[in-house]
Amino acid sequence: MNRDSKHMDEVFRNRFQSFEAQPPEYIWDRIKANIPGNNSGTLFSNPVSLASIAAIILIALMLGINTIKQENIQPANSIQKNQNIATSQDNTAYQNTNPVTIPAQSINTTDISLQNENPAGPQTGFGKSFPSLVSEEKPSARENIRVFTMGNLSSRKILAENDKPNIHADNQNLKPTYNSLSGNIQNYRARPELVMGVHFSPEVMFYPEDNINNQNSYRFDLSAALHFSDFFVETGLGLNFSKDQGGYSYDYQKYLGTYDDVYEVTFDSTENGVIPTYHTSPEDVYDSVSESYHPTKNKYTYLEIPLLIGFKKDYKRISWFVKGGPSFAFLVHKNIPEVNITDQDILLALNENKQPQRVSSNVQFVLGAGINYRIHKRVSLSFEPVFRYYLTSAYERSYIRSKHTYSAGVRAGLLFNF
Amino acid sequence: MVSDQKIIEACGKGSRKAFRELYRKYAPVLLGICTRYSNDINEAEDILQEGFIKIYNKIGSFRSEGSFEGWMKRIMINTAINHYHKNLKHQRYVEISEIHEQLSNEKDREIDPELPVNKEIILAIVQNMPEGYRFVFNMFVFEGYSHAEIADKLGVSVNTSKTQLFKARQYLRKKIQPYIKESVQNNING
Repeated sequence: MNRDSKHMDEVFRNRFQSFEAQPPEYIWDRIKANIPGNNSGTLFSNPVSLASIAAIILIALMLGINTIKQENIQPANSIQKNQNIATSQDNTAYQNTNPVTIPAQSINTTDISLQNENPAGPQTGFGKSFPSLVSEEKPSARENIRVFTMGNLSSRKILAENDKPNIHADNQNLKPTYNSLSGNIQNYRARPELVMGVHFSPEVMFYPEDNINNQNSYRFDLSAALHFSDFFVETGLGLNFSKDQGGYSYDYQKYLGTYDDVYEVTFDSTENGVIPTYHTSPEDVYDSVSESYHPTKNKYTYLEIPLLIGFKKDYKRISWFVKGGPSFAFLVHKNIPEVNITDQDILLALNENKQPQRVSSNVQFVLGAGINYRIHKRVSLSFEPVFRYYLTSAYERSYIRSKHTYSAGVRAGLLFNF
Repeated sequence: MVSDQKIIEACGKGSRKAFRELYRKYAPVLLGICTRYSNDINEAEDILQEGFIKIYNKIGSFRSEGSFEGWMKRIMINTAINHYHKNLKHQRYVEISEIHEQLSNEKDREIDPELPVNKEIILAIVQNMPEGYRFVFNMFVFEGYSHAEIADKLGVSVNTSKTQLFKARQYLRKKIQPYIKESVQNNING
C-alpha cells in the first residue's frame, strides 16, 4: 500500500470516527411494529425493586397485624367519660357532655383541680389540659354525684399509670371496669397464629407452545404464615433447583487424511528425454459436513419469595386450605456446560446451543390447595398440589415461543404452630 | 443510566421498553454506520430498522464475552451486506492486472489528512460511490476486514476485493481533488 492510500484511508477514518446520525422517530415505530414483547420489564427485571416491594408488603402486613392486636386491647391508661364524672370525698361534681379520653400522663398529683379535703390524703385531679372537665359550679344535686372506688380506694388513691387501670364511664352511669394486665379483656379477638413450615416440592415444567421435553425441578422452602381465624397470609424463602435437559447442535467435518496437491510441473531435459517434476503440497481432506448433537444438563438455582393469601378450615385434626398469590424468583446460580469436543480430527463448522436458557428473574402466580393433618399439638403434616403460572417468561424469549410456561408439583412438609 | 447488562437481560425477557432504551442509546451510532454503507438516508434507515429487529431476535444469544456495541455493529454490517446481495446488479469487476497497469502510470499524490473537506461532503462522496467500491472500502478501511474476509462475505474473489478497493480510492481521490484545489485557491486569495 502506498503512502497516498494510507493517507486517504486515514482521512476517511478521521472524518467518520464518531459519526452519528439521529434517526427519525418513525423508525422506532416501524421497529416496534415488527417485534413481539411487552412494555414492562424494568420493574420485574430488577431484583432489588422486587425485594423492596416484598419487604414493604411484609412490613405493612406486620404493622397491620400489630395494630389489629392493639385495637383488641383497650389502652390501659385511658379514662373514658361521657358525663357526670364525679369524684372525691368532698362531693365535688364535674360535668362534661363530651366523651373525653384522658391520657394517664395528664393525671398528676401536683396539678390539682379537685381538692381533697384531707390535706394529708392523696391528691388527685384532672390537669389543666382538660379545662372543660372543670366546672366552676358548685355541686348541685347529690344524685348527680357518684363516688367510685377502685381496688383499695380506702386510701382514696386513684389508680395512676403504674397501676394500668381502664376506667369506663357509660352514658348515664359510671361503670368503671378495671382491666389489669392479667385480667380478661372484653371483646377480645383471637390473636393471629404464627405457623412456620419446612417443605419439599418436586415439579414438572410445561411448555404450551413449544416442543420441548418437560423439565423437572425441586424446591426446598421455609414458610411463615399468619392465621387470622379462617384466613392466612403466607410468605417464606425457597430454593428451587432446576436441571434442564440442554444440548448443542453442531456441524462437523471428519478429518480423512491428506493428499498431495500438484501446484506446479516443471520439465527437465535429460539424456533419457524430458522428465516432468511435480511440485506438490499436502492438503487436508475432510469428509462432508455432518450434524451432531451434544446433550448437556443446564442447572439453575433460584431464590424464591412467595406472598400468598389463603383460606383454611379445620375439622378436628384435619384442615383443608386453598391459597394463591405471586411468587418472585431470582437466579442465584447457574451452570451451563460448554460443548467440549476433544477429537482433534473434527472440524467444527457450527456450534449452537439449542436449549433455551432461563432468565435471571421471573414472577409466577402460585395456586395451591391441600390438607394439613395435626400429629401433635403444635406439629402438622402438610400435603399440597401446587400449580405455578409464569407471569413473566422463565426462559430467554429468543429461544422459546411459550412466554407463559407453567408447572405442576406436589408440596409436602411439616408445619409448626407457635 | 441503566447499564447495558440490565438492558440486555430485560430485552432477553422480551421487554420492549428495555429495547426502546437500547435503541435510544445506540441508534445514532448505528445509523452512522448504515449511512456509510448505503446510497442514501432512506436505504440507511431501512438497514437500521432491519438490523434492530435482528438484534431484538438475537439478543438472547449474546454472550457477554465481547463488546455489546461491537456485536450490534457486526449485525448492522451484515444486514447492510445482505442488502448489497439483494441489490446486486451486474457489475464489472476490473481485474487486478489492469489495476497494476494503471497504478504504474499514476504518480503518488499525497492527500493531507487535515484536508478542508467537511464530513457532509465526504459522506456524500462515499454514498455516491459505486456499491461494490463502497462496501469494500468501508469493510477494509473502517471495519478492518482483510481482503480474504471481504471476499468471503461479499462472495467475490480476493483479487476482486483488492481491485474494488483500489478503484474506490481512485474514485475518492478524484472526487476530493476539486475541494482541495478550491481550498488552496481560497488560501492564496485570501
